[in-house]
Amino acid sequence: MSTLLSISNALLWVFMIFQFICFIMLAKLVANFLNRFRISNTSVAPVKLHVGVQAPLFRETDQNGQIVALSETEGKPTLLLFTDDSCSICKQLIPTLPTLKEHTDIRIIVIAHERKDAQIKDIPDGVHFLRSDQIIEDYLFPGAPAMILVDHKRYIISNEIVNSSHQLEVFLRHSLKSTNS
Amino acid sequence: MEIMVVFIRFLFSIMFLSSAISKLKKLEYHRIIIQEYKILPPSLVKIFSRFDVLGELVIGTLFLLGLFHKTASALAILLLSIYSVAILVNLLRGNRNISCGCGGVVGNHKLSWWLVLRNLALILIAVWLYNSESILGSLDAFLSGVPISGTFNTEFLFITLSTCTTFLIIQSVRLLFSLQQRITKLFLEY
Repeated sequence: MSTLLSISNALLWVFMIFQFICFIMLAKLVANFLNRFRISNTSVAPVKLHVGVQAPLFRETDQNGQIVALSETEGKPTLLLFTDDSCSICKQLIPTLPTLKEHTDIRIIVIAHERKDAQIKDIPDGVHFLRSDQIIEDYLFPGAPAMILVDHKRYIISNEIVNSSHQLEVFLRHSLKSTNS
Repeated sequence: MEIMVVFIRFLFSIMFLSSAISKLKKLEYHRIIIQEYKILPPSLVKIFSRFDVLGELVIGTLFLLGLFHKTASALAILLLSIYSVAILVNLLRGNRNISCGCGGVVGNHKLSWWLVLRNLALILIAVWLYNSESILGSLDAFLSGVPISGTFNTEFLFITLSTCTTFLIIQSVRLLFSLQQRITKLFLEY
């Protein structure tokens, strides 16, 4: 009888732990959801990283196995291009990035979600490609495709949704020009 | 008293392991935080950031297994003392607006005297752990010949379960509190 009581007691503890884990996961989900937006003039607006704030740091391995760290800027601005495997504009944008890099002296990092059925595979030379859900979460998922331009001191100088390679180039030139002036 | 030793040992283990894991996930960020303390020369920052995480992993694992109990307690006292001195120096310099870089279940907060007090309390508990003996859940005792019925028995199982539950209750309360703050902020914005 005492063994049976001990087993049922242990099972109750395990059940309680399981319930607490479920509760914490649910609460974290709600907290993440609530942190994604703010209320502005009685309407809901998404929360995004504003210009002038320090960009969250990261250190990840790129498509060539090379370690890429945001802090290692080499004195150049860094363009973070957020993409998604299901986004057709992103697939059109990526091949144009080497031309963009030729015209502007910047470091380019393309970021996408971690996926098993990855569709974005052909990454041009000189462009770092990172798959990291953590980076996307840290940058409050700015959208896809979206560009975040970070200066050499790690401050965000631009955070925009882009719809074409031309728009990306315009945003980039404008941001770099306003920073230099 | 033996039950209390195992209970505290597990809580210390969770604290150090969760802190080490959160630092490992964001090692670059952790390195910058250590740099912001402005205590170590730049050449030593990278080495210390790795040594610190490794130390926490070792302490957490030793406490969890009940192995080299005194060594783990001594290392915990040493590491917590280093953190406290670093915080104290920056508080005296007036450099409060940086993250403590504590990580894990203890969270990340701006430097304050409260952190020094908290660390002092943790050091005192670690000193008490150093001076206490426990056979329950101790791999040291098991390896030195104490039978399994005396080390990893039903009592040990229930202490493990109750420690897990206590930890989860603390985490739930913290999460609920932050949720309440966020919802209040949204209401205020509305």
